[in-house]
Amino acid sequence: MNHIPHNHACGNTEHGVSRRQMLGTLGGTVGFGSLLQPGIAAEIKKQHKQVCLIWLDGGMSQYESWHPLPESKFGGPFRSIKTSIPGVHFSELVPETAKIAHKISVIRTMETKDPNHSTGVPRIQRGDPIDRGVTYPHLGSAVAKLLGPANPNLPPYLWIKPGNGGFIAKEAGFLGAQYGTLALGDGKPPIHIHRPDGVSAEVEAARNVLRLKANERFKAYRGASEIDAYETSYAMARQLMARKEIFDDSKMDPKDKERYGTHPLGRHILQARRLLEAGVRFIKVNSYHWDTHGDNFNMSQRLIPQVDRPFAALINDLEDRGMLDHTLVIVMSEFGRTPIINSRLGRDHWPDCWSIALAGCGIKRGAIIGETTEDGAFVNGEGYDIGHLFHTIFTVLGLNPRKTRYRIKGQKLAIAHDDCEPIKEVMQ
Amino acid sequence: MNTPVLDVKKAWVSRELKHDRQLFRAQFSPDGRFIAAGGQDKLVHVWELDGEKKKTFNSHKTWVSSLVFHPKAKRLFTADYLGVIHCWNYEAGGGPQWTVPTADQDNVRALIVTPDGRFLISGGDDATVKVWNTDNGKPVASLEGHKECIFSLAISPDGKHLVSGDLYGSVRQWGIGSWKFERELDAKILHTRLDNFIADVGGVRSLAFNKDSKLLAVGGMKEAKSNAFCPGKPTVLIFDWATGKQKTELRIKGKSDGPFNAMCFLEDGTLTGHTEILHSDSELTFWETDAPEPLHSIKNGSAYDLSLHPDGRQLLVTTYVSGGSSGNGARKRHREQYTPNSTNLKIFSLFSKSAAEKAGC
Amino acid sequence: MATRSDDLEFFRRVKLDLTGCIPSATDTRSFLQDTTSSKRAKLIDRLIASDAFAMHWTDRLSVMLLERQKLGKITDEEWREFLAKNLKGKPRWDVLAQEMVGATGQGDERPAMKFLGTTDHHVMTENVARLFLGMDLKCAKCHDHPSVNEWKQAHYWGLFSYLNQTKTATNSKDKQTYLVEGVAMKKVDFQSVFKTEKEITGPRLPGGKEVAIPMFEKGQEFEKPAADGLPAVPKFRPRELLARDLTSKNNTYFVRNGVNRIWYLMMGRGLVHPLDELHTQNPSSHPKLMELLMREFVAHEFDVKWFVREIALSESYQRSSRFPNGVKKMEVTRYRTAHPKAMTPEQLLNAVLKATGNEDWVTKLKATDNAEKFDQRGYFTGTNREMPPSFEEIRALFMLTYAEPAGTPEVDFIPGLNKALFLMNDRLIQDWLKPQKGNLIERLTKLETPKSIAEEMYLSMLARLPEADEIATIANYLERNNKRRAAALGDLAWALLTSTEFRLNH
Repeated sequence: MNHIPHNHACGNTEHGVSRRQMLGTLGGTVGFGSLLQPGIAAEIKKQHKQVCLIWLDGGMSQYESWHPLPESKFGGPFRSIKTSIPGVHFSELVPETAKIAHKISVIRTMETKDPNHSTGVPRIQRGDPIDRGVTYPHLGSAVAKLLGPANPNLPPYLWIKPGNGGFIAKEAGFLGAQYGTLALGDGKPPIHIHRPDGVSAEVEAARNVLRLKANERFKAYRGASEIDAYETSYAMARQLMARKEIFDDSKMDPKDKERYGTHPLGRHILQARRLLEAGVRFIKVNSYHWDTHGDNFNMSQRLIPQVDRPFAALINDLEDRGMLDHTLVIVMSEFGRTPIINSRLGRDHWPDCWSIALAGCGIKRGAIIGETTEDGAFVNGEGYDIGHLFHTIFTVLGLNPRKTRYRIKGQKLAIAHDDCEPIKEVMQ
Repeated sequence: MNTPVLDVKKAWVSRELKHDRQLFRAQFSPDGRFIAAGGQDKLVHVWELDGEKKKTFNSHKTWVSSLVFHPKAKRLFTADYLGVIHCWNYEAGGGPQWTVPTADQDNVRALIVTPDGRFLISGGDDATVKVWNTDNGKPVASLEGHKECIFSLAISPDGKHLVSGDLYGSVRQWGIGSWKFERELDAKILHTRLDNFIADVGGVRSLAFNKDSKLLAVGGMKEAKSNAFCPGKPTVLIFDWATGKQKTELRIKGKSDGPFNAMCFLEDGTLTGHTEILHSDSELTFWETDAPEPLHSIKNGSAYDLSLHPDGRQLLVTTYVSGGSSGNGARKRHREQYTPNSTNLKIFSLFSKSAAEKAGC
Repeated sequence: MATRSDDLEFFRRVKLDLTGCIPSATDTRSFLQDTTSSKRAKLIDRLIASDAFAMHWTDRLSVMLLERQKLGKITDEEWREFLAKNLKGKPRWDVLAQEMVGATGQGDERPAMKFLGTTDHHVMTENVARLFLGMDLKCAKCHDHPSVNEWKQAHYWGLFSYLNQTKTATNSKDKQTYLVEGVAMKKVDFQSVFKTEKEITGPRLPGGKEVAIPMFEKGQEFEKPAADGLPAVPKFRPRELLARDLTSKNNTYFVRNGVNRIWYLMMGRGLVHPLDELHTQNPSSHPKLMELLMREFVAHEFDVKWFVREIALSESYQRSSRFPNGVKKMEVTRYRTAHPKAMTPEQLLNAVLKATGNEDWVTKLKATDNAEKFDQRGYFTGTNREMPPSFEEIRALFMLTYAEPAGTPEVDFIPGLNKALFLMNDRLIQDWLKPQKGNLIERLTKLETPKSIAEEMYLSMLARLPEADEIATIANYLERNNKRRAAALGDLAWALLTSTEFRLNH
């Protein structure tokens, strides 16, 4: 549970040991309290909570990943394999995560309402709260607002995705554009993060001295908030320019690139790790085309490993860096896939019983939550709606979703569905 | 008894064998007295057609992906998604006579036997064509060269050449006996990977030689639109075997959007093939192979295999049957009953029923 | 209380507000030297009468009413032509509103149809309420508004009831799309998520009486039969009634909203703010003034130009934005100083081009006829290294960076990381700061003394004269960079371009 980070206050590398090294074996409950020096403990307390959401758009098949059930009448052709949690099996398509299952948790009984993409994706990403006639923010924008930036010099919410980048204000809903996300198309920062051709670092610095001087003058007899806001946007822009190496692909260790995989999702999750290390509060990583209505098994064979490998690498790396205790990592889609196999040998949408994997901040290690019917088609007992997940997320991030409220146009709005509760079984 | 005149336009379903799970492969035995089938329930089903006695062989641990009869002996070879190959005596029954265990190879997608019955050939995910001794299952040869999953196999009627087709649309020709690579045919349009795909779609899903070995039919689909729904244009390429060049590209009449899973040539040179479609009706298509448009189409559910009876007049079509629970999300009634989709092994008689009766067939 | 703005402060501000661009150095010099006592009033009149006013206010009203959406079948050009024509004459807010809300697509006012563009009746209801009544009724769709007591669910559905017969139809002869109405047969029922009873309403304006829906015998509902693919015209046309009654001078909500929005367009902030929160719990900052303006607006037949002129002539508008000595903070609602406003994206582009002296040649840039489509996405990710080939493309890049996404109100100033990065580092800006084609930097390279350079630069870019210390800064910088003089001039100009003083309309 306790974890000694590599970066610590006293600067003494002797303390830079990983949990695994200390314990020697998996499991074990050696307390670390006595080993911590006060400085380190304080440093740990101050560490900001961060989030990495890995979004597999279209609906990853739970039968081909976290809840295989090859013996059931709905199981696919792939084997189930043992995981590092005794008695628990995952699909053979997620071998890397199976090895470290004891570091993560899986909820197998998500039971949500929307079987459609176009409405389902935003509903899920907004936590499907009670309809109050306003547009709720997506999770990343919500966290950006509720927790603010982790590193004041970096935007709080970044989105790594294939395709277009740019500033996406829409995700912020009623919170307003400033809580939108800066999307990095194919993980690339906007070209404007670079100085223009012909402008050296010295010239750039000199120019900004002139600019700041002009601004100081202007501000001398004025006090409008717009003036400060404008100056702040430049300060943030310059911070981002100064840190542009965190986006620089070529600066990444080739060994890391190999471990995560050179396919887009692998590269993007590795980049997310870089950004988490730099202190970005919330990073969403998107992968598209998981909606395997046709040829589900050939496709799953090729798709599922694309998330398995970098997800496992990320969990291991965060742990090694002492970051796993304060970083929440979630792997999910907008729903799962039908137990029944269709005429194209595909699976259709299935919000009725599906799986989410999560790890890190405040999440139990090695917990598999939820009982389904034997064939995996339905939840046995009470399933969890997305509102429950949001309560859980906000709680482990240190918020109280029962009390915390947004204030918008005179309305006080709950941050997650009023009638849901955190999923206690998955929280530490 | 006279053999009825082949007339695909008058084809009719003369027999149905229904099964409660989805089957992928179903073939007539060489003497036409048996049908063997395998699929999602991991069992190998063998029907004796006279009287409908049925045997079930239970050794596969996962989906049965392919099967083929020995041309002479009473042996049936079946393979699965773990790469296990079993050899059965399908008439006598009992356990497998021999087995290629899973450690040897990856998923097997296709099986074929040489006409002389000596060699069993398999192809699958490890991109290697493997040759086995049919008597004992011992490995004979490993043919490397494909870069991706092998989906289909065929042997020329003279028994001299083997062809294998893969995901990338490459058809490789090998010498039987020499086990050497002879030639590559280009069916790359049957493979799609657009910029925004995150997986390769399509592949050479079926291969068939015509009777005199002049033509090789290569089946799959082209122009896939996504790696999610994987819809494409079902396409058969007709190659001139002698030159290795493509002659024609055959298409379908209807709206099916999946690959050609199976094809076979009839004795008069007509080619038949079947494809799949999502949540709707597909078609059994017939062509005279010199023109792209079909000669005839019969509406049918999606199907995964075709097998021609030795009499050349009966076609076994492994047809998907919907249980009525298609589509997204659960409906209320599903809590009570939610069962997998099933199969109808339809035997199409490829002649006019009335004409046959008149002629006393 | 701040003092009155000095001439140049006023000049820049009014040029931006009325014509959408900063003044040129020449114009600034002339205005400064003009000694006529009524020069401000004369300037205001001249500007309001100009084509530039019509074009700029077309921009502003379009953004306010359409929020940059591609709506319906009317092209942007048709819509703009329609608005500009109105603005060149006597633009009446009530008439414009009536034309938009009641649009059928017939006649000269056809482009007004763009406002109701989407045939989503809920979106129409919300837009009409928000933009013409100052009421954000989205929260009142499912229940009485939770925090604004006077906004009821009945208001939402009363408005909806006027609109829910509207649909599009295509004329089979001229192939054009028109907005038509079906037959209104029954009231609309609605139910609060918090209540168990259903409620019911016919067409009804907030604060108004419910309109009875007349019942006709079957076959008698129509005034004109169906023709050319367009359906029969019903005798009872609620949307037409809405257009008339909503925009009546007796509808205080409409009048108040109109006053508030035009005040906002000039002052940067509504007398009631936010603009869609006109209710008693959010009172105007100056209730008496609001009442006065409402009376006068009605008395002057909702003449937009008259109102703009009145505001421009007022002391409040002409106040300086500089705080009096020693004052650190000023309440924005007191109007004791002018509140700095953001430049709109259109104003910013105009201003950047004018300030750097590149306006002439850049606005004339056209792509060659067979040119490939310019890769906008690639421009922002860095894969497209080309310069945009046309002014349209340049404009598009600016809008992509500075405009709000379609469907979002553009009211308050929202600086952003990506906006700052663009102005700082974009290669267009960089290019415009190189000496070429008679632009500012080229002119500056021909000047000798720091004073003359500073004057030309400050007048062109900030519409004012430089102070002594500013001249000294320039002198200093040029000396230190004497081996790269043109580039150094570019640096100095860059600093002003990215300065807060440039960005804001103060």
